[in-house]
Amino acid sequence: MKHLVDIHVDRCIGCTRCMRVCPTEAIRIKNEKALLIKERCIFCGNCILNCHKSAYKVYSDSFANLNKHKVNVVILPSAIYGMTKNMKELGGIYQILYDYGFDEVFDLSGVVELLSQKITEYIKQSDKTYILSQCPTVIRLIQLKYPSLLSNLLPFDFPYEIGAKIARKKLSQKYQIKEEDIGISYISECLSNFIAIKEGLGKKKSNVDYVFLFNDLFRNSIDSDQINTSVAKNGIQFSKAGGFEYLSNKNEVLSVDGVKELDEILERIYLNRLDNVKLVEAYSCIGGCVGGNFTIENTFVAKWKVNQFHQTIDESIEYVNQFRHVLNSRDWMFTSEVEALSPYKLSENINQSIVKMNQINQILKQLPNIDCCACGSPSCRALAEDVVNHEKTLDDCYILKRGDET
Amino acid sequence: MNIDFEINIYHEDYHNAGSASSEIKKYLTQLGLNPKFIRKIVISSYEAEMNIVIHSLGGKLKLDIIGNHIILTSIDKGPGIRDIKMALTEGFSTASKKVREMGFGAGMGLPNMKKNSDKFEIKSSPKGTIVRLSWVIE
Repeated sequence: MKHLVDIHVDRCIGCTRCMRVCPTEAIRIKNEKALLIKERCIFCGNCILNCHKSAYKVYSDSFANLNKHKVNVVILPSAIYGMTKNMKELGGIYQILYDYGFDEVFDLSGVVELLSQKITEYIKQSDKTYILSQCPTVIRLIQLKYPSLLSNLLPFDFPYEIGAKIARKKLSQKYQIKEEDIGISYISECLSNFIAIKEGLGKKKSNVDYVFLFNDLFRNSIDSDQINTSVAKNGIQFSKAGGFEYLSNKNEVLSVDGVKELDEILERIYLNRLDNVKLVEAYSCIGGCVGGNFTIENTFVAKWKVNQFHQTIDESIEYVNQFRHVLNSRDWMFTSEVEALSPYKLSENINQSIVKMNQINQILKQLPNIDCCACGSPSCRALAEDVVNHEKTLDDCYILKRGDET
Repeated sequence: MNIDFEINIYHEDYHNAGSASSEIKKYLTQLGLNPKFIRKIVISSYEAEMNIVIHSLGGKLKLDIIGNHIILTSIDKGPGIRDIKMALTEGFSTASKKVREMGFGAGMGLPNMKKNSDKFEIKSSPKGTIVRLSWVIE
């Protein structure tokens, strides 16, 4: 299957920047162009963020799709609260979306507030350390690197998936139309949610029909007091890392953000070295969703804005409750199993893998082991693997070549 | 088919502590072994690695795959374990206050290695300690 991320070959100069920041060795440079190994990608978006040539393209949907539906609803990503510090600014966001042609805007904060209550209940059932399942990159990293921790992962679906189901039900009643006549769009704050929707992580097919990218739709914020909006005071806290920690029993929740730190925390759980933590609130982006790679506000300003907004609004149980009984509890969870993945396996057969491993170790002894990346592989070891897999040759090593010349 | 590799580990090298075990994890994952089985080996190698860092004058970890056996050997340069029986008791530790404050030295190292391996052997003298753990590949 084609990856939803691709390279503008006319822009990519094969500089190795993206390859060096990829946490899962999912990028190589071949013929001076970046090449993505889709099976190893955890959708973190580090490559896109670190490309200084704007060579990455992401295939988002076309607005023309909206014409297929009688009613179009857009689900607001949580990251929006990193742009709005009061109701007026949120009203401005709604205005922008109506101008794009959406009939309805669906706010997720109520759903997320209910979800947090469900999670708080759920984690009481056993002594294990649970891992929050809101960030698809967290899930991907566990699938790839820590498959034995899949049983620690919460079973709850992504908020926009739950929101999409609720919106479809409610709006088909409101407009008296069939559920399929409603088009559901999401504005993704990050690569991770974008791909999770497109590929249906934890389900056969996403409940969201179309995905647009945050920075394609929003360039700046505007004020509007023409539009009445409602939000859940506590729900908006979950748009940033530490939101869950802030609202719950602080002794039990550990909050982590950033891929590198996330990896370290997962390793701690893996080694049974994280005692007394009931829930790990984990986000791949620094700052959580407000720091998503397609957002436009500085992550730390965004976190500050969420807190500003939080202070200006009152708690509204009424607002939250309207989402409470629309679905049965099964609908709040993933519908298919999140499986272990093994894209690093050298071969299907262990003896064959051992042969390859020995070849890799032999080649590695010839390499300079300085991990300069000039060959287009992320480390000398990765080059040795690529040589054994016939993807590269020892001639790709510049240091060895230099030695030959002198 | 045999495989062998070894990594040097330095005394009080807390900065890189754990990296040998990460390397071992990467190896075993590439071989395509069962994730739960790998976890037992990696937990053991982490404990062995930390023991070298905290208690020894330095040493190395060795991983061998011989036939259908995986053998992890931890070899250090001393000063040895005075009372092996005590060291195998859960919660017994000779680690300093400083080490405990860093979250290590809970006295679960050797017991965890024993619990997570199929076969556990230990030899110690003031010249060094050798711990040999083995598993039958699942």
